[in-house]
Amino acid sequence: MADIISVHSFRGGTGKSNTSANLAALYAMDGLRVGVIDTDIQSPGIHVIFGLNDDEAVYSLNDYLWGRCAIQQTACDVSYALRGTCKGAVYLIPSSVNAADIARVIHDGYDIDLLSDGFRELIQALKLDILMIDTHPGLNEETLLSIAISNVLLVVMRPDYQDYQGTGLTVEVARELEVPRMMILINKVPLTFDLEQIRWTVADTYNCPVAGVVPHSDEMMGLASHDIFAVRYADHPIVTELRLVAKILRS
Amino acid sequence: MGTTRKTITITGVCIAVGCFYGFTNFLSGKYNLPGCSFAELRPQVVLPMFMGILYGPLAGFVSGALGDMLGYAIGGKGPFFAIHWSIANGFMGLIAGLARYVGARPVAAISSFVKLLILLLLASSIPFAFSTGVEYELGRVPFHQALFGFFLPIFITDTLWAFMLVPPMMQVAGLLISRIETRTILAVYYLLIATVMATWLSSILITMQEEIQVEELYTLGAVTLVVLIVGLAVSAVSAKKITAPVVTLTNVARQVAHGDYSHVSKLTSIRNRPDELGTMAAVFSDMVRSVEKREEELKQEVKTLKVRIDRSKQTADLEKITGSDYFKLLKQKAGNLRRKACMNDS
Ligand SMILES: Nc1ncnc2c1ncn2[C@@H]1O[C@H](COP(=O)(O)OP(=O)(O)OP(=O)(O)O)[C@@H](O)[C@H]1O
Ligand SMILES: [Mg+2]
Repeated sequence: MADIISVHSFRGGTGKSNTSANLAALYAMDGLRVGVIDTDIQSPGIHVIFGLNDDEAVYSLNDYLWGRCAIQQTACDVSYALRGTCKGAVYLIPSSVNAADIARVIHDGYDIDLLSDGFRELIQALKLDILMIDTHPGLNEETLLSIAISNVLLVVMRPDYQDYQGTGLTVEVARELEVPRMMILINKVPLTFDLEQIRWTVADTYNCPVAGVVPHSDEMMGLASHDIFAVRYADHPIVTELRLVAKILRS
Repeated sequence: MGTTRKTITITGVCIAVGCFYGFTNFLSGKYNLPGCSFAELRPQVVLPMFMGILYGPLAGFVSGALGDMLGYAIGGKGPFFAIHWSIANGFMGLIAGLARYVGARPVAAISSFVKLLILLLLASSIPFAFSTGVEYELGRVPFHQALFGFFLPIFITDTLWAFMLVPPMMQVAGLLISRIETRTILAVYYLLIATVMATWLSSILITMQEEIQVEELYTLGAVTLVVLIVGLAVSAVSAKKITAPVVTLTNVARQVAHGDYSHVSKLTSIRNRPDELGTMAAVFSDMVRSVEKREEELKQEVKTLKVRIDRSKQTADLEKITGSDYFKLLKQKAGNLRRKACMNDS
């Protein structure tokens, strides 16, 4: 069975989308076939990192949820975004950026069975090894759903007082949902911090293993989600750390 | 293979330059210095010296000695006409050829420039003191004639030629490196040496026309040379005074760039100078000190992370979420899905 890895954070802007995209790219560089689903239906964004324009995808996840198409039809092959370093494949399942579509999903919601059936079909049809789920921040029903059907959850947080309480809540909720594996990723850490001290403090506070500590990087900031960091800066220390995270998440 | 070819090339160049030296010696043979039957106006003496500087003492010796002998040969006197003078010409090139061993090649600082000038001075004096001595010992000339008819005219004139022509030749050959030190001294140097040379040549001309005593001319020449050397020494020292702080400043800046702030104290004496360099050193060391302070503060400021969580609020929030019907349903469905997936797997 393929791994379904959800990347989540309680607050927005922690780096979920960039982390999902980079982990997907690193897996594909290792020869794995990866699907990336943007379940952030309220504020989709990860397609930008893969260089996909808003109007480029024919079908979105929304179309599948409303029965307009099969799940395979929503998958765009974005392996080209890895510029020749891709040994496996990366497929992106985008969310609709259409305002009416967004409003409809928020109003109606969608069913857990439908989504999980879709995931399973997608994994089989595209022979995926990994399905990465980029989520909407917070703990609304759709996000809970994404967490519930994943078997690995990566909770992203920043060393920021605004993130501490919510991260604790997320971890506890995921425990209630009996997600088999859960790890924390600490992102955007200022370079003045002692990274090891952060690692054990966080692990200790949340009683949850830490998959990685990623420093803040001006290069990442400067890239402004316009490319996959791991492709552009393959030798950067952040990429080295993310490679470790990718390995730990699957071990 | 490479070194053999190089040796052949150098030998060829030495012989060619030697021949050219010989031919020009033959040409300049008519232009004797005042009061001399033998010593001539020979700007080409710089050729063997330059060969020595370029390729080493042996090359200097060969081109100097060979050229001198060739000059006599072309003049019909036979190559061994004045063998001690030919040997002296060889030694002139040889002494200049020591430049590479005493740090006078390449010229990259005032100190190496001073060493070069001293070598040129020695190359124009020691060999000719020797050959003049031989003339005197053989009883061919009295002491007075040896001094004023041989040694002084040659020594003064050749020194001036060497001082004037060797540095530009080295500049062309890329052996005079443009550093702030060399630049500072060269402008003054060329001006000074050209003036002295012009004066010297016109003095020679006047002496020949007005029948002035040659003793007076050469004594004056010797005094001029001494004044020139003292002047050069003074300008070297003052140039060094300008450039030394710049060099120190550069070195300290380089160390700061590598994160080493401990050398800034070296600038203390420069700071006290009343000129712009003093101001620059002061501004620079203040800047480094504030950078160092800021870096230190940053290092100490945030090193440890503290995470505080309100556990009772967390429990309340958790109950709100997990207590909802949706959550209970979700949990149940998720459990079923996982069990189903497990069964599919096995
Ligand atoms: N380690 C880092 N160093 C510097 N900048 C980072 C780092 N990680 C992410 N960023 C930047 O933070 C911004 C937000 O990243 P991203 O969109 O991935 O976050 P998100 O959690 O998906 O946000 P949202 O909740 O809005 O979906 C981006 O501009 C990204 O370039
Ligand atoms: Mg996002």
